[in-house]
Amino acid sequence: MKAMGRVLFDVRKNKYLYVMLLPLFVYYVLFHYQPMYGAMIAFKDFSPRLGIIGSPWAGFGHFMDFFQGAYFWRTIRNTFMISFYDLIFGFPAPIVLALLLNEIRVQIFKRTVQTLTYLPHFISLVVICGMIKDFTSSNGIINDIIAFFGGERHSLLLEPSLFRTIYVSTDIWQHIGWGTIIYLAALTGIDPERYEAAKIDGAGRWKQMLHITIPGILPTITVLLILNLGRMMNLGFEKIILLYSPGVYETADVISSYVYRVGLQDFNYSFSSAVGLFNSAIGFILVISSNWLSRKLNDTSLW
Amino acid sequence: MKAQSAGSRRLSMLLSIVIVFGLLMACSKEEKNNTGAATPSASSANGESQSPAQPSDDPAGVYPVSTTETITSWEEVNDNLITFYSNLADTPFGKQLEQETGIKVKYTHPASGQRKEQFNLMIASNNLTDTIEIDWTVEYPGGPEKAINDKVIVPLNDLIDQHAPNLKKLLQDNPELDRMMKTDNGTYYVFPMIRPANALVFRGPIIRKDWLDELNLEVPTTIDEWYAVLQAFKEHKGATAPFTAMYNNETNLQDAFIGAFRTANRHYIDDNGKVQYGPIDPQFKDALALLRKWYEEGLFDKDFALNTDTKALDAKMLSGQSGATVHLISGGLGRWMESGKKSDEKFHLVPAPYPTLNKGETAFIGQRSFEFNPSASKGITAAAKNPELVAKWLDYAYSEPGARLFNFGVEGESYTMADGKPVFTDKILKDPQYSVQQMISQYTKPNGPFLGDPRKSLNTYPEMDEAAVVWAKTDAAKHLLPGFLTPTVEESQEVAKILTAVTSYKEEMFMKFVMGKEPLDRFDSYVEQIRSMGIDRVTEIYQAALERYNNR
Amino acid sequence: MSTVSWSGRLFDWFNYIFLTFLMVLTMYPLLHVAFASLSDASELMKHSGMLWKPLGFSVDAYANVFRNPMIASGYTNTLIILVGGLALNIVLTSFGAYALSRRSLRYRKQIMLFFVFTMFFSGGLIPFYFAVMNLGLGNSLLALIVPTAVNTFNLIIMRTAFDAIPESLEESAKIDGANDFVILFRIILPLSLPVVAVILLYYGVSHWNAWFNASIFLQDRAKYPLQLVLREILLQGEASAMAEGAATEDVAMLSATLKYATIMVATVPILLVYPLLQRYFVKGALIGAVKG
Repeated sequence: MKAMGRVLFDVRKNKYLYVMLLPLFVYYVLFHYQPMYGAMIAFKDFSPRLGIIGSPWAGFGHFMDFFQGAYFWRTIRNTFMISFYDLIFGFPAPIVLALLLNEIRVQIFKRTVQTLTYLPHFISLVVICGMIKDFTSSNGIINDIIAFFGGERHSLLLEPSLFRTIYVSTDIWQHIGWGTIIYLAALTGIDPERYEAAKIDGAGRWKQMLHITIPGILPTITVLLILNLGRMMNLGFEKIILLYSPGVYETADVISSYVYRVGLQDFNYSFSSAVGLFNSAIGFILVISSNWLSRKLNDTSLW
Repeated sequence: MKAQSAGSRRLSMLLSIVIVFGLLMACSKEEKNNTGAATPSASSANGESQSPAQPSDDPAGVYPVSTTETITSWEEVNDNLITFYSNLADTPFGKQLEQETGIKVKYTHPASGQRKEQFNLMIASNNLTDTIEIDWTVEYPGGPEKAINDKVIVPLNDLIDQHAPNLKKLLQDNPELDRMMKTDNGTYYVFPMIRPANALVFRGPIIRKDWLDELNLEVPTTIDEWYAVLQAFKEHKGATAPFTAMYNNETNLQDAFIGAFRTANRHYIDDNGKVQYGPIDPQFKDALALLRKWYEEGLFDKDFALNTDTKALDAKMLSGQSGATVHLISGGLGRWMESGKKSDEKFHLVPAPYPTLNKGETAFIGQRSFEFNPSASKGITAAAKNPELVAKWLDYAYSEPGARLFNFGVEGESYTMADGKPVFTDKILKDPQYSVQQMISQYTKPNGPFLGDPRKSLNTYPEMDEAAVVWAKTDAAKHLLPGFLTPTVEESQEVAKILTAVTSYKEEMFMKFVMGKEPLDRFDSYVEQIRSMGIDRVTEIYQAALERYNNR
Repeated sequence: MSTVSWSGRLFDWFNYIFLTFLMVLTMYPLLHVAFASLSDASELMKHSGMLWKPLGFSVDAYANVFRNPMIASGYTNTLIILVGGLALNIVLTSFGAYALSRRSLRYRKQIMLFFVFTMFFSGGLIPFYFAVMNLGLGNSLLALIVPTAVNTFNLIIMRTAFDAIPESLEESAKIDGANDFVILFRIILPLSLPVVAVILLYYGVSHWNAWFNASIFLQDRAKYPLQLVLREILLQGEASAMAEGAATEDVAMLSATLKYATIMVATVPILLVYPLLQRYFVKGALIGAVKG
């Protein structure tokens, strides 16, 4: 009762805010929460005819199938490793580029670089992977360079030890330009007067960046980092499937690509749902933990 | 502190109410959808007495049928057609079909490439059309038997017997086809697409004849001859990947070369009628040794694992990097000849027979499709208010005039009769702007439930006709596992789990053996590993399914 | 007075060189696609490796794409979806971001959690399909606008940006008697133009590229958005290339260049948008407000 009272008090105090939030509540309930009963599908033996509610229960059967799969640990490990590398190298890359661009004085050069570097983001993955295969093949340009320096030609995508590197570096290549956009926007929010003041105090460019620029965009960085952590387990299968081959399964076969192959044999909504639910749960836990950590460390957090 | 948690508790209670409410809403909506199913199925189960439609007073097999009813059909539309029409009913084919059968049809087409999702959504929302064209063995979980038990489609035995005389006769005359189309307990579930006998083989070894001529070599037929030829390609024609192949989850050889050792890269039927898993056969080791040797000596494309689409083969075959491969008649041989001749008049490809170990032998296995094509076959759903009418409509495609329409189109427009044989007109073959396939898709139905005509051929080179003959000279019919085995739902799921794991391992090891990363003496432990992953259970399931199939 | 140190100069040189190199590297994919789309199909089929110019020259692939009667309706539909969609997106997202950035809102954290939870858990395709259909949105462009009205990721970004705006502005406006709507539209949004531009870009690209929902909710091909039309054209080309037992003709070969022409048609319009938005990325939007 007391709680009810507090809620109503808040609504009355912030009535316009709640009015603003109302359409959002309606939207989320209608299109996200109401359909959420579908998550049950992971615990059932789904048959489209019987519907989700009408299909028989399977309990944790599909989860057990997943956990007891012959390649469970390998796929988890690969998913994690690739995501981790992507995070370590791929996450800072757009930030670094944004900072570099920030140092450019010649506006037209800056704008040109901004515009051109974001182009590959829009090229379809199939085409990009076709190019990757071309470049890394034994007759491709990268091997040309290797041969020039006296090395031996070999198809790079067939080396398990190189798969992660190729995957992550091409991810950076394709998305770095697009990734900087949000940081460039955040950079504009830093008051130029602070730079003036710093220069007067004798701080060089490096110090300025360390003490003004980076802290200025830190909230954005933090939020994006937390969200990216949440996506770690959801490594999409498309790029993996386009680049891998059985010879590199040991480092390239991830959860989504393995489940995809299972689906080719016998497509089972319930099984893929169970795996998806597992991934989501892990992701959510990661987000909650990193959010808590972030709140403790620097007071920025998602909630 | 206490207030805060009370507030959050309040909010989470609100949340749970929302979810429960949502669930209730969902329940009611879904149930509404599902109870809707009860009525139509009841009426069709009761047969003609319940249906409000006119009793079929036309005797079966007479067209046009006099009726005022419209039936509904769900089927994929040929991709080529989209340039011209968005619905089959508007096409010259659709109009002619309506005229000849006397039955009006309302078509629904899924978006290109979205067949699976839209099919599942249609079933889930219970908006079934009268007939649905899809592969019930693959796309409906549980297979055709389950589809019938779930009251999605109806058994067709009586309908075919009484209202589809054309199909009935075809089945009586062709017991093998009859067996393919039934479920294990003898129920017919679709009106089939029947491929003509000369359209069953369309993939095999292709080789550069101009190179062979230059080097004074014959088209190779044995493994040793192939070895010599590939070496010559490498040394004298500068081929960097004399033999190449595509890779789609497995090396796409259609078991050429592997079959020479009397085994296959998958489950097959041995000479005693027993199902075997090729990759653990002792002779498979010899096949691996062969490929390994060729890989090592630079005769087999070093990047073969990356050739995941035709594009890779295109570049290699057309630029002279490769001299031989395994691919399709039209998508490979035909296309490459067309393109290759543009830059090099001497460019000449011919089909090579599936190779054997010793001269004069017949290849153990090869590529062979089946007459029954389940993916372009139509079932009659439980929602059909007048299934007899639908059956009549579908049966037309197996009659002589009907089949001619489906295969060749409209007489006078898309084909003419010359010496009693239908021949495509220039309108189709020589349109300045559009390709043959695009023109043909307007007048015919390239894939669908009808009787395929062996005279229908769009081959532009004689080598293409030759290929179908040369590649057919194998014992594939005896050794290929029939495509229409129906394991039970649980068995299918078991197979999916085991086979995915086994295939992953098998392919990894295949790569390692062939590429020389793993010594061949590890073959035995590889076999043991596969056994321990449960392959024998899969073989068992297939064996049982095969026996049920043979007894249909 | 700016210090011009030699280490600063060196850094600048490296920076320019590095960025130019990066530019070339990232420009290549689009150039490759552009050249391939203008090439002769036969030549392209033979070729492997990098492309530095069109091979042969042919606009056949483009002719093939634009010949399709659905292209015009595709563009129109996508434009409608863009305008309608973006309007809804911006309004709702800024409402949410504003509300969640106000410290006076007691349940900020819980409401945010309510939204963020949906980023991780969903019911899957089938219940979503029913949800949309049961609201009567089937076979209408609304099915492509309403169900995607708010993207939680974008909401978070916008809220983070609104958080950075000093409270003093809000307070002084409240003293002047302004209510939340006025504050949002007259003060917060104008000060956040860079972020608004970014969010518009994110939502815009998402609408532009979308095809899946259209494929399951739209029955009339005349209502198909551009990407779905292009997808069908592309699949057509691929189907021809892998044809079994049917003849080949130029279209089968065209599939090589068709793919690239399709990508160009799909991508170039949106590439032209970003430069237009760049002018919003101007520093010092806040200065005027604080001073004033």
